Parts: sequence; structure tokens; C-alpha cells
Amino acid sequence: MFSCTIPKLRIIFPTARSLSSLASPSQIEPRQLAFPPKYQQPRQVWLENFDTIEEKKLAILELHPEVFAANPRVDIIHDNVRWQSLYRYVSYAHTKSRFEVRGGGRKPWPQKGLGRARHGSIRSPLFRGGGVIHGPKSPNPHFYMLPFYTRIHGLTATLSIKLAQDDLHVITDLEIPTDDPNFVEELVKSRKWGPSVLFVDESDIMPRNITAATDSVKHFNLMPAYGLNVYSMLKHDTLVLTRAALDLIESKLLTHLHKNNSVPNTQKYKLNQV
Amino acid sequence: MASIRTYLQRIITKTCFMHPRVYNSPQIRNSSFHSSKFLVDVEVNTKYETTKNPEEWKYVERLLPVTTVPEPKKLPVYASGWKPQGDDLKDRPYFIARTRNHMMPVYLEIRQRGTARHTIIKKIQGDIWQLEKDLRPFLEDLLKPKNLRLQVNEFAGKICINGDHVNAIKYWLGERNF
Amino acid sequence: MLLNKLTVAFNIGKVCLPEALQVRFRYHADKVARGPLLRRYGYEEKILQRGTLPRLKGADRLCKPLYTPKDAWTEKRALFGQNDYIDILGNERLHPTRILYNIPPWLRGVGGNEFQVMLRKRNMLAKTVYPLARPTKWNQLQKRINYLYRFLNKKTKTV
Repeated sequence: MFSCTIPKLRIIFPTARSLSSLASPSQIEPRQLAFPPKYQQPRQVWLENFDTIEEKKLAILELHPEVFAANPRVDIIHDNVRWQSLYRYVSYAHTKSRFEVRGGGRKPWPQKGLGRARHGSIRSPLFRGGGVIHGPKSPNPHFYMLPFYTRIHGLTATLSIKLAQDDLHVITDLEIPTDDPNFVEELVKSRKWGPSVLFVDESDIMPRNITAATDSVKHFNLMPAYGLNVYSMLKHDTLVLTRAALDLIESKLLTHLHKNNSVPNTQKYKLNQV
Repeated sequence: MASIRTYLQRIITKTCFMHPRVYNSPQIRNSSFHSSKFLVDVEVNTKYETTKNPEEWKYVERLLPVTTVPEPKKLPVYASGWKPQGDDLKDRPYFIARTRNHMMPVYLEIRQRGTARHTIIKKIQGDIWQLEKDLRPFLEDLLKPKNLRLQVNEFAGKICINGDHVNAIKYWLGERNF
Repeated sequence: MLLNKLTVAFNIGKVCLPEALQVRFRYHADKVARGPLLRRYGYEEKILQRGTLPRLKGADRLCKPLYTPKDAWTEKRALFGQNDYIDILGNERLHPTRILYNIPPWLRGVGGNEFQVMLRKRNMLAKTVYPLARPTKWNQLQKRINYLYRFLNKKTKTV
């Protein structure tokens, strides 16, 4: 996708320390990529452990380039973020019109004879304390729906950017030995994982220890895979996926990009047929 | 609960007048997270058997709808004139991916009530400027006295050409095994 | 003489009883001694009628609230946008508009101008208790719809 030279993969020479802690290759299955890529190289990411504070690199996983090496379209990401902020926003600003303001049913003074301007009610917009003419009326929704594939490309672009900027990590599980928040804090600090971390797992029921540990810390958040979104990925500095979540997200996005029956998704949004 | 409610209703109607819609209206607040009941396991009383027979399952599988268009059978020549994409394209400077239906991503766009026709090539990966350099002589040859108007959108991976050259470009791409 | 003695006695005691307040004086000197009448009682003359006020020493400080930056990591802000892509990454049949729980029911997934929104509100609330429980609001809704119908059809151009 870039006209400049395609960046070469960094050759990481394994140090003695990480070699000693490498698990045997037979324990961890390599990833099989659906819809094998024909041109772009699959991206590689370390599979790390989450049991200890010290980082242990267990294996290298391959990621599909269509999801994790997509075009980093900043304009599409902007559209997604704007949509997420606005589509559920309802403005509750309200001004009273002349018929809503209390009073003003009677003609204040007779039409002729007084030498004063002619008026029909004291709540007309010309009067002090009268109604507002075309003011905001609550509640005012700002709903609109983004095209289906714009949202998919938003997700792929954000995931690609996260991986390219070293903010994406893959771990085996969310199982930790204690429910102490200090464990997670020290882990994040030692691995230099950025101030705010978003942990994504496959299902919404997470192990007890991680939920107890991250409950008190506001900037470590847990999310199920179906809750992943562009806004949260940009708000949190680091994105940490479990292997199961990674498989789920990749398979879902690839099926959407390759399935041939996209008619129900691309049709115009109809409120009563959602 | 129901008996208490009817008891209260009778008291209310006897002591003061209230419109039937008021005292008959149930306090249901629709589609609210907090007021919806939790899902209850529905007890299924119908009798059914389960079998695990891989040979019988094949007959079920062939009835299920296919979500993706599968790779076509490999033949030397196809009667429709369709050509599959080559396999050894990793060394090329640029690459034009096929669509999900295994077709070439070259489209004709008609605007201005039929007077403006543009050919658009999408899904271009790699060095798009090299592709433009290779395309130019071929297209200029086609439009000999006329000028070629071509726009490269590097950011989106698209090339837009003035005129209807869809089939020519498809032939050109087919020659190069894309 | 007696009158003079009486006035002197009252002036020494500075009695303010209505019966004892003197209105007319025999001698002008006594009137001057009494002093000027207190007029405009309770009125504080504002010397500075316009512009900014001076900083006075020992005066009370303005009760202005201290600036506290908003907490960007409350639960609502930290998890904002969750489940917006549930139809892509989860069940395909669950549209994100069906999960909007904090919005009035007649506004879920509704994008439109005021007239369309008002009509939808009226349709959805007509058969509930709302017209009887909130008669003023219901009446205002009806009036607004009537006004918008006339305004949009007579004063604006249809697209």
C-alpha cells in the first residue's frame, strides 16, 4: 500500500535470557491463516505470558495482513471516531416558544387609540420574557449510520496502526496468580506497556483475579472481543489481546471482508427493520 | 401480587374517579435495560434424538449455505473467458488484488448524465507509481491523437482514468497474470 | 420657660418616642442643634457606578469555584464506545441501535428533523398514560406539530 520501500521485518536476535525462557515449540500451536495472503507478508507478533511480572516470550504468531497490515487510513478512523461520539448523542437543550411560555393569551392593550405599538400577546418574541423564535427544541438526536465497510476498515486501520506503533501485545490468557492490583501495575511498568492498557478477551466472563485487580485501577480496563471499537483503542495507549480474542477478531473481520452476501449490511438503514 | 393490585384498584376507583387508561395501564417500561427481566431457561419438552454420524452429516453440510465464493476448480481454459490470478506474484513491485468474487477490480463510473466516463482501478498494493509508469505507454497508444488523463490516488490505492478502458485494462492485467 | 425646660430635658435624653419627637421649635438654634433629618434610610450610595471594582484590603473574596480538570478515566468515559461494533464482531443480527438504553425510546436509532421526531414521539406515546399524566406537555406537543406542519408546508421549500 505504500509507494516508499516496504519496511523490512526487524530481525530480533534472541538473547540468552529469552532463549532460556522460550517454551518448547510443541506446546504452542502456530496460527493458520484463513484466506492465505498472496502478496503482503504476514505480520509477526510475540506471544507473551501473563503469569509473572517478568516477560517471557513464548512463540511468534503470524497475523493476517488484511487485518493487521491494512492501509492506515486516518480519514476513515476520524469518520469512525466522529460517528461513535455523535450517533448516540442527544441534545437536551430546550427553549420555550411563544406558545410554551406561561401567560400571553390576552391582547395587552387595544389595537388603536393609545399611540402605542400594536401587540397581540406579551409573550411574542418581540417582548422581553417572550418566547424564542427558532431556538433548540429538546430532545434533538444527532443519529446517523456509517456505511458497514467504513466501520470494518476503521477497525482494520486502527489495529494495523496499533501493531505498527508497537502498542499491540498478544498474551496466552488473562489468568494471574493474585488479585493484587500492584501485580498488574508492576507488570505493565516493567514491560513498558504505556500508562493505559485495554485487555481484550474472547468472552465477557473474565477470571476472578484479573477483574479484582483491575477494578480499582481506572486506566486498566477489561473488554470482551465483541466490545472492541476504534474510540477505545485510541483512548488506551496499549492494546493487549488474548490468543482466543485475536483468533475471534481476525476470523470475524476476514469473513466480513470475503463473504459474498453483503446485501443486508449495505442496504440503507431502515429504523423499523433493524 | 395480582390480588393486592386488584384490591388497590378497587379502593382507588371507589374513592376517586380515575380514567380507566390510568388505573389499567401496566407499569411496563419498554426496552429499558434495568426494567427487562433476566433470560429464563425455556424448558423444551419436545423429544429429540442426537446422533453423530460423519457420513450422514455430509448430507447436512451440502445443504448449508456457503458464505464465501470458493476457489474455482483448476482448469487450463475456462469457457467464460475468466482467468484466475497467478500464484507467484510476491516479487512484483505492485499487486492488484482480486475481489471477493475473484474478479478484477476495474470499474466503469458514469457521471454527468452519461457524458463523463471514468475507469477506476482499485485494490492496488505496492508501488503505485511504477504501475502508472507501466500503464501510460499502453493507454497512450490506445488513444493516439487524444490526451490521456490519469489520476493516481496513492493514499487509497486507486487509479482513475478518463474514458472507458475497462476491457483494455483487464486484458493488460490478465497478460501480467494479475 | 416651662416649654424650654421640657425641650432641653427631651434633647438631653435623646428620646425617640413618637410622642416626644419634636417637629416645631421655638428657637432656631434648637432646630440646628437637633441636626438634619435622616432621609433615604438604608440607602447605600454607590460611588462606582460603572467599570471594574477596586481591590479593597480585607474585603471578602469572590466565591468563584476552583478549577478541577475532569476525570478522563471514570467508568463511563473509559469504556465509551464499547459495543458499537457488536454487529461486526459479535452477533450479526444485533444492531448497535438496539443497545442504546440511555435514550428515550422514541429516539433510538432515529435521525431526522424536529417534525419527524415529534410525530414519532406522538405515535409512540399516544396509547400510553402520557396524554393523561402530562396533559400540558401533550398539548404543547400537539400545538408544535400543527405549527411545524403549517410552517414547513407554507413557508419552506420542499426539497
